[in-house]
Amino acid sequence: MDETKESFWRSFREKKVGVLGLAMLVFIILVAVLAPLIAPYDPNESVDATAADVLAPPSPEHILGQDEVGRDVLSLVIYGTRISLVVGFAASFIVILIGCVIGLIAGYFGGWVDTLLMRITDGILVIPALPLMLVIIAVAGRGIINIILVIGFLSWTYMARTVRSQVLSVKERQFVLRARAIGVSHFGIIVYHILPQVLPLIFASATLDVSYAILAEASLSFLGLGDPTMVSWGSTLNRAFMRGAVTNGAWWYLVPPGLALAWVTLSFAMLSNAVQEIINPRLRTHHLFDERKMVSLMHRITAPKIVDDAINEI
Amino acid sequence: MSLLSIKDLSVEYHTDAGVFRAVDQLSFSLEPGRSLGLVGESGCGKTTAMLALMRLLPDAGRIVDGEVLFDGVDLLQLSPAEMRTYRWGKISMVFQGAMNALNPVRTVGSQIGEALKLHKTVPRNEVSDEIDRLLEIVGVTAESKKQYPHQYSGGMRQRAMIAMALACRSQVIIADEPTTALDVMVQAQILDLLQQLQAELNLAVILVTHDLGVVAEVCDDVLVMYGGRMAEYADSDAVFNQPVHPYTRRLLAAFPNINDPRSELASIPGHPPPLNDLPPGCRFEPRCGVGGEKCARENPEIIEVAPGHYCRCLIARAEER
Repeated sequence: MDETKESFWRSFREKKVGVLGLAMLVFIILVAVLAPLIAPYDPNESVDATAADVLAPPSPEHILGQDEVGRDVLSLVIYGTRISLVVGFAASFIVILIGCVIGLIAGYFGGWVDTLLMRITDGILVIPALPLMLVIIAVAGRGIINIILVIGFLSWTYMARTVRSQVLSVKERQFVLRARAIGVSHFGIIVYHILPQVLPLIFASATLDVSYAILAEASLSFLGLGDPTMVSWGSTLNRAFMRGAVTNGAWWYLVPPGLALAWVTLSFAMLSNAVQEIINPRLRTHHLFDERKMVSLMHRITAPKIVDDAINEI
Repeated sequence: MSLLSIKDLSVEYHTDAGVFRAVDQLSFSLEPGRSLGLVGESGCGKTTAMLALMRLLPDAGRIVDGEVLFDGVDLLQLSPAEMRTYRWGKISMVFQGAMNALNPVRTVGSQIGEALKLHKTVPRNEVSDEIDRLLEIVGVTAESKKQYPHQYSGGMRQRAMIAMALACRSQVIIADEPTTALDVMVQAQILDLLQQLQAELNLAVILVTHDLGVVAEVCDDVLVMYGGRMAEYADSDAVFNQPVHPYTRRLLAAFPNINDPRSELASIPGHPPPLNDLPPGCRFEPRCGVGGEKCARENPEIIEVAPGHYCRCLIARAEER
């Protein structure tokens, strides 16, 4: 494995976008961990606000201005990092857990087990997630635990399908037959022989799940269903809209949480892309093909047909 | 009673494309300390027969008939849990192509240890020493157990597979084309190793191969398969010196003769019959060339042409008379 790891890092370091994404991610994790040290103010402390503090523009004391009750926006955004990351990682942990178990079982055993599990997966896959999340949170209550559970339990479908397809190919390898011949149980084969082969793929697809979970939390909070006791980017945006930041032109209240969301999502997307490019051979073009040549080939194949169609349309 | 005796084993593959009878009424027996060579063209059912007796057929494969008696116990009647103790505990296997049969992300030592732990061959605290001992038996240094399969050479991997097959003191070892994809020098080393271990441990070995040279060198008995059926079954001497079945004769003629390097190599024209559309008579009849019209109609029975020398051929019977 050491050599695989080493070659992974060698390929990873060549992907500048991936390295940048990782750096951005490390930065945001540091911000979350060190929030009490970095943030100039504690957003949970009550503020003796005067009329001048309400939606005050950026000033030397408050670099990103103040909100409608006089709190420091920069501190709100810094503390919001914590919720976003906690929800992101916790929800994707649930996603990995459920997705892996279902994918491994469906792929390995096949037959009616596979059919049953995949139909359930399809069922959840076709339900629009956000409206369902809204309904469940509205009924179950607006706690952070509920939010994590709802996001986790509604987003494992892609993971399950990805894992299953990989398992289908790995289980046909001869070392699985050998393990069966030795007398390894189904559980042992799945855990010791198949899972290690699927792990890189799980890692690559989990990075995207984290940013999806963070966005889902922000959406819920923005729609007023976030945890009311905690400061998150979504809830900050929600309050900014509700309390007239737009009409007062208080851009310093709206832009920072939005940018923070974009920052995190982008970092995960870049990281995930780089990792997938290394792991998924299909995204890697064949070594005999030049990327530019591929593009020009594609044009040659597809262009005339599109042109023909366009002419026929006219 | 023989250690292992297979009686009328028949295996079918049920697929969307139809039913393929891959093995048809195969019988043979094996004594401790002896080796049987299973010879035939690709797709004639050699590997399927071996997987069937280990009960490791893929989902589409079904054993439709027959018995696999190990020390008098019919393996086909055992529960899956009982079968698991026989697999590797009594009968183990060296797989075709060692690279694919080893898990690339785990060390070779841990994969040998897996068999030891599962079958509780040695107490848990002695597993590590036992792995060292097994690797040394097959001529791999004990330090290499911490390495991964890709760090092994082809020959070392095959040695490791043999060590794994020996791990649980099995009495029968099935070697499924153990020397394919190895160069000639390493091939000879692996065969020597197998022979030496067989003598030392009094193992019964089934060697599946399409290399007649290997069979002549290593095996006591030879079973020639054609189209899922036994064509000829006898000790090596008889098969190589007095072959009876036309298929065996032509197979031997297709083998280069080292004493007459300028003699022409004879190939056998045509292909083995499709297993879902078998000819009504003898399966080799379309390619045989010496058979009569009776061969195309009548299915030959197994006959004993000499003591211990079996053959499935109508012409052979005529010759005998």
